[in-house]
Amino acid sequence: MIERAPESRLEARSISIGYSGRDIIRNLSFSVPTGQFTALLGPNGSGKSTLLRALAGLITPASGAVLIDGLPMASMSRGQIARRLSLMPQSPRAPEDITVRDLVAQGRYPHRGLFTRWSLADDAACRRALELTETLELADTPLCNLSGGQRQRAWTAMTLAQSSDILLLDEPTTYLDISHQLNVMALLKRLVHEQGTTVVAVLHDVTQAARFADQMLLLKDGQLVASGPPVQVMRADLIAAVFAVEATIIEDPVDHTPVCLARR
Amino acid sequence: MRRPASDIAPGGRSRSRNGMCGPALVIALAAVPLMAVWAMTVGASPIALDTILAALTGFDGSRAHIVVLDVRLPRVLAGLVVGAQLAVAGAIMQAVTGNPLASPGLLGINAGAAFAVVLAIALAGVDATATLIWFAFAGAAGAAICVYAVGSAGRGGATPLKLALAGAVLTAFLASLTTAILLRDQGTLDSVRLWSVGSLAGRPLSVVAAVAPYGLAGLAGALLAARPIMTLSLGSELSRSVGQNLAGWRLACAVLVVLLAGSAVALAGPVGFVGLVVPHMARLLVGPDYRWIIAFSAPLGALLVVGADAALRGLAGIDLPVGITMAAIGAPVFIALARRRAWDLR
Repeated sequence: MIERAPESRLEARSISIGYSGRDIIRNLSFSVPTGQFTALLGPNGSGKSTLLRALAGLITPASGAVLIDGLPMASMSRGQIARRLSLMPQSPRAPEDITVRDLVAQGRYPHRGLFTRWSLADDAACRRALELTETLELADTPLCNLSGGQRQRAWTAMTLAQSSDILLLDEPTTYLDISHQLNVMALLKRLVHEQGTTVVAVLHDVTQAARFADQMLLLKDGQLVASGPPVQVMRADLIAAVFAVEATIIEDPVDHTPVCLARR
Repeated sequence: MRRPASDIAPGGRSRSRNGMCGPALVIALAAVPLMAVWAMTVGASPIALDTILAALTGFDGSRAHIVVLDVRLPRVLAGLVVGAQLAVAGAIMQAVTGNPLASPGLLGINAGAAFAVVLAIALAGVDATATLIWFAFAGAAGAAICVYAVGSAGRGGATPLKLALAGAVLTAFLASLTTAILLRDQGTLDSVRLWSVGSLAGRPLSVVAAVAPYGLAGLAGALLAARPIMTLSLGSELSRSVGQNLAGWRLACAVLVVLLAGSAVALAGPVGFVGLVVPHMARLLVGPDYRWIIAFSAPLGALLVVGADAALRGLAGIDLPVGITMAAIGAPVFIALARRRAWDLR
């Protein structure tokens, strides 16, 4: 009997993406498990961000298709896509003088027509996003007065205000100190387990990914090398093949998740 | 608390700022008719306020009433629409390009429209405003495409500095071509000499009425599209993530700018600096939210142009074309802006 893959609303079907003759993603197929936290890992230039942007519908694959709820994304408007999934770009930027509240309110864009007024639902979604990211008390602060970690939370809040059940994040922890990294990871985990959100995040720290994510995806040269729960993917031979490092995998004494000790 | 359920005001704007913007906008709008009536009292011979009001409410055929209705009223109305249109066009351009120097004057839109109008008058002998305005639109659109194409060539895309340089080059080039045509053709020179530096004088009411609908349509469109324009102003990355149709809205904004600036130029010639200065004044008043910046730019632009046009006449008795007065006001502001924002223009 064939094991049934986890139910999926977002799916890449043999997609290839290339810029100026060079293939970034080669014939990759992958279903995003619904209601789980998937970590996308790989060395620099492995095509992680490109894959994420393709899943968000920002890049149209040269061949193959990305499907959301069974429909090809290429046939949908940006608004239709944005109501189903939200993307937090890598180190996003906005004018420095706008307040967190105004930034978060932008997340409601796909839910509003040209003539629709700000509604109670918009209000509720913004408030919920501010609460989840613990930015309520920062709501009237302009972005320029925020620390790096607070900024990241403000952007996450904007992404959450979009109220889509699929959240794609491109390196949400990269420029943060370790305490803020853990905050962001804990928030993502909480969204998945308490709100049933589907999260896909491009991450760099393999051990951190193994601790927080339900699924890990290893990418190298635009191809999928391994995917599955952390205990299956965190193997010395796979880490060596993907990152070209010698690694020892041990068990975290507290969480019992795999820990990767890279040696050479 | 009247609305305990929420502390986010309609539009998602924080309530404190929103609370001040509304009354301030009412004051700005209320100042417009006051400024307009005052501007009508000013001129070659001063006309008393009550005569102006009498002429507007009950025309009696006297010389003063004829002056008010045939000379002063069209001039003030032209100033109002031209000021509002250029200011709103500048606000849209600054929002969409993320460029604090973007304005129809600096990015060559006005020069393009003016060149096309002069070309139509000199070479094709067109003199109907209803036809000329289409030349103005075509010239504005052509200049916009040129500046964008030249400004976005090379590394880094359309940076503020490259766009401003491309606009300056095109403006200088088109202005010298316009002058060349005017110098060659004595007849054309007389009818458009004043117009070509930007002037509100001598526009009959019929011309104002022929051009105004396009500009008013542009203003209405800009107010309707203020929210998407606000989202555009936050950058292409944010705009794409929240599902905005980036290419579509950029095109819509370009159409609005061409409509606003093109019809303003058809009416009053290339009046500079209004589109640059007014959105910055509005931003100082209301902050970075383009929904408010656009709403404030319209009355502030109208006040500035009508005021600048009338002030010299009223205070010094000199009747200069408004394009020259605006350049005198705008150039120092432009230098101050360029110095202050030099670091983020690269």
